[in-house]
Amino acid sequence: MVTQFLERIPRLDLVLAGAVTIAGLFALLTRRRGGRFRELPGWAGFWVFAAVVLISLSHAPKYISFALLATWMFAALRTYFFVAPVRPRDRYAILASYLSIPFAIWPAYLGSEGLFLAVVPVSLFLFIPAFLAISQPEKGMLDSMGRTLLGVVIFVFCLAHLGLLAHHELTGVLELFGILVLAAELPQRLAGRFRSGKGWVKPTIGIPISLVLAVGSGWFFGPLCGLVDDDAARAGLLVFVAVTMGALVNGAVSEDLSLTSPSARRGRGALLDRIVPAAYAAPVYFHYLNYFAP
Amino acid sequence: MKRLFANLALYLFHIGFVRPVLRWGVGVRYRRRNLVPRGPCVVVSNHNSHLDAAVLMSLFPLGRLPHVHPVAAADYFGTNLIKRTAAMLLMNGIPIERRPKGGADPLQAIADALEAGESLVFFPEGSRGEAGVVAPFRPGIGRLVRKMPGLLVVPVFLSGPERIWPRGQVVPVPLSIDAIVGKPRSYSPEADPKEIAEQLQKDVLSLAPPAPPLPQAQPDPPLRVAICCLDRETRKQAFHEVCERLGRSEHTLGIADPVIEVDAEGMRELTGPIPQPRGRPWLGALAWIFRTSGLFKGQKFVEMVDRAQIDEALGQRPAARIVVTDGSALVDLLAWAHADSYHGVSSETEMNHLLHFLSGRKPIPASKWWTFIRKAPEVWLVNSLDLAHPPVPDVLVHIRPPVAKLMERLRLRGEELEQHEHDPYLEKLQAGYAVVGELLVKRGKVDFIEFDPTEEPLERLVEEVAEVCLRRAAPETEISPTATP
Repeated sequence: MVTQFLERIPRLDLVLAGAVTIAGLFALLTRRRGGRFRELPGWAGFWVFAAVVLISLSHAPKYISFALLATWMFAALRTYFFVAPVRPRDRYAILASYLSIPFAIWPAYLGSEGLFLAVVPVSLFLFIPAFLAISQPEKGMLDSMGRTLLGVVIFVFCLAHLGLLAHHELTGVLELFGILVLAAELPQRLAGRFRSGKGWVKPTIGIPISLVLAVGSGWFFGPLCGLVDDDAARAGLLVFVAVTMGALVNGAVSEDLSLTSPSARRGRGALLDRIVPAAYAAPVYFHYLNYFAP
Repeated sequence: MKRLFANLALYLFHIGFVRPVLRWGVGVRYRRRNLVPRGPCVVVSNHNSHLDAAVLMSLFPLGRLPHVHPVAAADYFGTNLIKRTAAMLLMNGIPIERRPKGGADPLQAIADALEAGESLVFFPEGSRGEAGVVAPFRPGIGRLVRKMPGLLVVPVFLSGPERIWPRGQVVPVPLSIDAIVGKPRSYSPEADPKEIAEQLQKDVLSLAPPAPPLPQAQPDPPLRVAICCLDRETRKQAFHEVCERLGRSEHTLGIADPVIEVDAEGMRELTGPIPQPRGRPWLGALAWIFRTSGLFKGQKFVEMVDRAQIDEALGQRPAARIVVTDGSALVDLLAWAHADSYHGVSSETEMNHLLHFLSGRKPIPASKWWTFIRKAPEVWLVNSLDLAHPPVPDVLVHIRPPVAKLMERLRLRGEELEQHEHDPYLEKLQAGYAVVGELLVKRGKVDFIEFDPTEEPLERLVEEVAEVCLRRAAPETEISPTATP
């Protein structure tokens, strides 16, 4: 009976659930080692939620899954603005950033990539700076603009690509995305990630392993969703590059916001650390599948 | 029956609106919520927003909601029906007169509620005030504590509501809130109400996390002064005198062994949050393996790295206005490289490259590793193992005694002379310091002072350094373009 039940579940969903479970168990077993291992349970918990979002985007009715995605974007953006405050007079720019979520979700819900590209980059990225400029453009406006736009780029623009992926003709590409990001991230998290000005010894261990794991996972699991193995391996490679870039950006942002202490990395600051690499990879993966691996 | 309807309205409002908004809209994070006592208590916190009362009420379990009362100013919340309904009915508030008439005790209603076993939410600041600013706590809370001996007071610090819905703003903007609960305590009824209020304010503020940095709100880094000299005794003496002189005018830290702090109260050893130099055996082993030599031989290399790390840490977390260092890792390494690796003949481009490698701006290309390992292992170790990013000083002081005198001092030391301790080499090394000084001046924003102690007394140097430093440490005043003639 269990076998019959499991057979009805798409393979990639099982693989993603298995990957998250393994990551979670590993995190629970190693958390007592201290250091960066203490951050792993939180990260694994985040991935349980992320896996639910990805699977629901793939299978659940769109009005439910897109509401879940929008809630996720809102919660992420809200926490980001808490840890990266803008000037008090720019509070309405924060409001405008929240309002950008439905504007990004709407074309993604319709599955219209053209509309998405028209609405999000053209309208929002130009509209929000104008909103900031309405308040007296005194010292610090450019910093506020940078902070606001970075939040919108990562937590609205990038994450909305997951919504667009839900319309892909191949089912399972969202689950494959989760598997690839996990494969690209976990070794870097364990061995040490590349961070500007922080040396190269640790990344030289973590980066090659995650490269091999991401490409290997793509090559091995890609055919389960109908991708050619070479295309899927290349998708793994691109996801690996994007995740590494995201981790690099996140490291620099955390440094700038003084979110480097262990308590900050397990508190609200942890959100950036967990979500930014995955968010970074979403547009890269989407455009690769759309244009280069049809 | 009236009480029943009031409780129904209270529960409907909190279950249907307040708690979902706080949970999903705002995302309140409670820290140490379990410290809130089960019996009657007064929850006290900073106050910047109308949201504060709702957040503090949500610290209590739903079952206790009818027994928790925020204390509300009657002169504000009693002015119209809407405010009165919101504050007294939906939030279960107790009104108090902030300016009572006819000698009535404004705290009587609160004391009665506490005696009846109820809990209170109290804002001793009196009003919301300016966003992000904690106003002095008024003595009313002290009088209440005196009136009710043994009363448990729970300090809470709220971070976030002041940015969501500060005074004067109509539309709240969702952001996160941190509610940090402190240990409940009671206060001596003999204490003065003012003292109790002050102590309570300290208790609340002690819970505050460090504020996240705002754009343009970064404090200026300290002014760095480096005292370099090949004669150890002269350098130490100059270092102490410069620290003492600067400390009289500005808060100064001196990085030597040990780190010292100097201010108007005098000079003392620093035992605060700044890490003290610690020799690490593996660094010493690396220095031995890669055969660092001369100024950076063995343990000297470890000390240099430790001091550079402390110097770097001070730049990230400004602890003083001026930081004086006994030597400078960056300048010493550059001068040594000029004298040793380039045999006293180096181009400006080469020195600039070295500067970038040492300050961590550029990695040494792998193709040049072997050259560096052979010729300048100190530079290679610092750069490729990312040991430190020694900062560039703002004021570089090079004390340059005549080489003959320097050799005389070295011989008097009674130890065997090292390989680099001979006239031509020391001449080259001193010239190296001058080359580095000129290079840094050319790059801008660095003052370079060269001084011969045999020509002028040390006091003259100290005064010159003080003059330059105090001019640079003074806050910049903006000059209006219209003010220029």
